[in-house]
Amino acid sequence: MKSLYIINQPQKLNQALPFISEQDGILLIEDAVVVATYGSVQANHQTLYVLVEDLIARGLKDKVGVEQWNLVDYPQFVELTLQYDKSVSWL
Amino acid sequence: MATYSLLVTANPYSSQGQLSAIQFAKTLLEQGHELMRVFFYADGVLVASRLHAPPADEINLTKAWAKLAIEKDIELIACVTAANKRGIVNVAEAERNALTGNNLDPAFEISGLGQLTEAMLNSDRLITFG
Repeated sequence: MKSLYIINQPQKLNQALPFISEQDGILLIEDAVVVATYGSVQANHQTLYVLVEDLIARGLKDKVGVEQWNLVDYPQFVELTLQYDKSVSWL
Repeated sequence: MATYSLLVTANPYSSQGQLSAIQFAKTLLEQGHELMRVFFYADGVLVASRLHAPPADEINLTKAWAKLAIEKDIELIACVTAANKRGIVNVAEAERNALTGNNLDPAFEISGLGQLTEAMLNSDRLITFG
């Protein structure tokens, strides 16, 4: 069972990371997209995604560490929720 | 094709969640998936009032949900307990609680948490926007 963790505020990523397994995915949306500009994240082999619409809205698209982060749009966001067995929105 | 339901707990004016949920809903419908139900809970129920009057240059989230619901035949359900305590009431709840007015938008329904459980059981995916 692999889960997609949806993170919508920057401080929530560090709170959620201890609970996220290697096979899970992490998707940053809303204000959390800023984390993708911080340089490397101490992730444990999870696949990392960031929502490009929310990056563009904040003028951050060109500041993302592209070697670690996969940029996805809304159609890809929907596809990710099917690719993973379930989604967990960290609130 | 998959069946989705959405759980929306985001406050309409202090977070982006309602807008994200609307965009996600539109996208999944464009891809040919089904959206069975959108369940509004906690501060998310605030969007169900028909009395919102945002400035003309801001999106009216209530109307955006209502348009989607009418065009695509989607159930918009607000939790009765969360709604009543935030002053979101339909005619029946206003009468039951002896209130002088009601404000539920006609595109929304008031119901219980059982509707969320049923949506989880009958959908392939439940996505939460908070």
